[in-house]
Amino acid sequence: MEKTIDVLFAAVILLAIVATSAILAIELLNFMRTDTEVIATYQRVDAGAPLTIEVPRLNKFDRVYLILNATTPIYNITVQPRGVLIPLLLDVEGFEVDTAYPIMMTKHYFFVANTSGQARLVIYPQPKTPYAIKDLEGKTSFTVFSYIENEEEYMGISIKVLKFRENGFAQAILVIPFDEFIQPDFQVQGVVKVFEGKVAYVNLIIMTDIDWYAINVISDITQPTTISFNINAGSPELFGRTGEYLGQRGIYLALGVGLYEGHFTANESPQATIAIGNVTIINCGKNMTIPSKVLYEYDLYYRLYIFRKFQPTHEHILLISSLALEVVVFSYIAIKLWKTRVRR
Amino acid sequence: MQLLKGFSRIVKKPVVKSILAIALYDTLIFSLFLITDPNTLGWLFDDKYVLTNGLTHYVDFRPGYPPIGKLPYTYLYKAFGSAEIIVLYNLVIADLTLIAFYKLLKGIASRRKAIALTSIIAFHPVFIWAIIFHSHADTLALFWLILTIYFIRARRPLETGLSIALGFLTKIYHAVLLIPALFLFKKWDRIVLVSSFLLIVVLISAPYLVSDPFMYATTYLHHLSRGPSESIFALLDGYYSHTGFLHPTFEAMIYTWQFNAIYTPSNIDHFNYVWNNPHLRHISFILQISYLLLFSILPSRIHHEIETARAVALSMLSYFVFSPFWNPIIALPTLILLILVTLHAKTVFNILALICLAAIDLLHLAIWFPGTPLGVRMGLLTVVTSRALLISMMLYMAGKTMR
Repeated sequence: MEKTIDVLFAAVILLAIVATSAILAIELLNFMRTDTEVIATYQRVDAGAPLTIEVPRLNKFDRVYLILNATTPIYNITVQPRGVLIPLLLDVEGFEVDTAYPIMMTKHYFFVANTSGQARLVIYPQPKTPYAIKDLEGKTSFTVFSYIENEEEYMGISIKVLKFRENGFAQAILVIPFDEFIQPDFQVQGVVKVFEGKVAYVNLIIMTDIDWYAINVISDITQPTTISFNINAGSPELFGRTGEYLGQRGIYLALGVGLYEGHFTANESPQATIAIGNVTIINCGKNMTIPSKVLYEYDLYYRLYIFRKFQPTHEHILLISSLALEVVVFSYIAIKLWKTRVRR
Repeated sequence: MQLLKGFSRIVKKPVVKSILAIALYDTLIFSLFLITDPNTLGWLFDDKYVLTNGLTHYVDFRPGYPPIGKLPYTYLYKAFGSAEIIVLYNLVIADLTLIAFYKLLKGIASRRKAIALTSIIAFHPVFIWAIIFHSHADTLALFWLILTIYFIRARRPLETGLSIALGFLTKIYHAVLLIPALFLFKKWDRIVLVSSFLLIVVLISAPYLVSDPFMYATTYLHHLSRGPSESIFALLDGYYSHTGFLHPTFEAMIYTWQFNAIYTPSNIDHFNYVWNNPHLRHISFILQISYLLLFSILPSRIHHEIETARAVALSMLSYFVFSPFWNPIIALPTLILLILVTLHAKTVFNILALICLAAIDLLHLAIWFPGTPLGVRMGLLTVVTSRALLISMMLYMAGKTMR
């Protein structure tokens, strides 16, 4: 008789578990229907003039994620009213490993709402460049400008180091997509001018679907100078892997500009200004030129994501507590009945 | 003289011998850690981020491992912030794992064989690497795997359910063990297995389910969008990369589907992968599930404890060997399962095969260092092919001894 009562009770509890789970599932599905809001648009900008992006109404702890094209660099971004959105680093693993393509081509900003209400993001844009510019080692700030010499345009970039990496280097990289299999006729030609500061190196970086290769273009420049380079499949790589990338699928190419802490005295500001001329890439009999054109007026495309963060309600807490209790009771009865059988 | 005799008598006692062996092993491994000084804390980048920004795991932020796998490292890092403590914790878990494995083997093989095979695991390069360098829960996951097989062999449904649950809350693959266990246990045993599993999972997960069930679920769900790596299927699909390379920023503060809204999947990104040949994924899944079911049905018809352990090991092995996802650390559960499957073979054969596997695993670890002679592509082709051949040979030999 006692066993029958236990079995019946277990069946009732099982039904309760199913019912609670179903109600919980409905509650959660309702949240999922409206938890993401996306605004994908563009605004015409003048480099240097501020641009305002309105963020739709937020709840506390909501996440706001802004994605810009990394070829449209910005000086900085501020939040109005102050403190409504708290900026957080998105690169949890460290920006030095943020080398995945296509995320390499984007610049992302991440905020958590500190309070419910409305907010605006104010962006101060720089000129648009042909390259996506990113930090690879250490932390730098940079300013992009146009430089003309003998009627030829160069893309100028002034790099200031905010923080060197533990190895003493800071590196900013200028990335261009390159989705091709690398053939034996592969060549990269161009001109680099160093105006001021001290450049530890400029490397050509070849990112393939398998590995990362770096070939030195110039190193240890402390005086203004102009260097033409021509990298080909016979050029030795830093790890001595000459031409190993041949036949691999190229993902992107980049010019890595490195500054070394040891080159600067304590009184010196660690910075360098260089200019890059047109870069020509030859592969599989085709020529591709990256013009060193800098635009001061352009359309700034952006995507703004507002991700709602789940906030537990009393009903939700009650449902989870009930579910936990029901599972405990069901397990207790099941184990009790099982033990009775084992004893027999 | 009397004192010396007394001392030697104590030392000769099996328990004391075991304690001395463990102490010697721990000293050796810890010395290796001190000499090599690896960047063990480097793996705890997510904990650094969480602690710096005042966040809470599974509520504001999703790590890659479930709570039992992740939180001990978080709390140890928070309390001590030193790599030494992490390695000591890993050593304790490694000791428990080796003891559990020895106990399991001793029940189904000779003592000598149990000692020899446990020693091979203890000195396997990936096992040592996991202790001194890898601040992730792979060794603890191994412990639960061995314990579960131990309880399944002993036909103890309650303990089996509990250890599968604890394993699942350490590393997700443990849930797969429920399949052979469900076939093996009947009627009330089966109910007890499931209810004990649910009890532990629900109770330990309850605080996170209350705070943010989505963030918690995302810890498990985000693995579904991961691509293949370092397996036959990955190479057939033309993907020669691995987990830590071509990694996007780890959008760990939003839910999986929110992440998917931002990040376009591609065939060069492990983290959100699009297969060049989607059939490969299906073939892998069908092979995994067919063999898993086949070897799960077997134990229900077997009444011998050794054969039960073997069949369960085979079913779990099917999950690993046909998985599109592989990395050097997966060598550990595979090794344990292979030992159980080939236990009937001669000890010399076991040892030789396991040493060959260890050499392949060592080469696998080495190919990720730039400048290794084989290079990534050739290196991966070599290790994947030779591992497949060696495992096939071991299974063939195991099949022969079964007959």
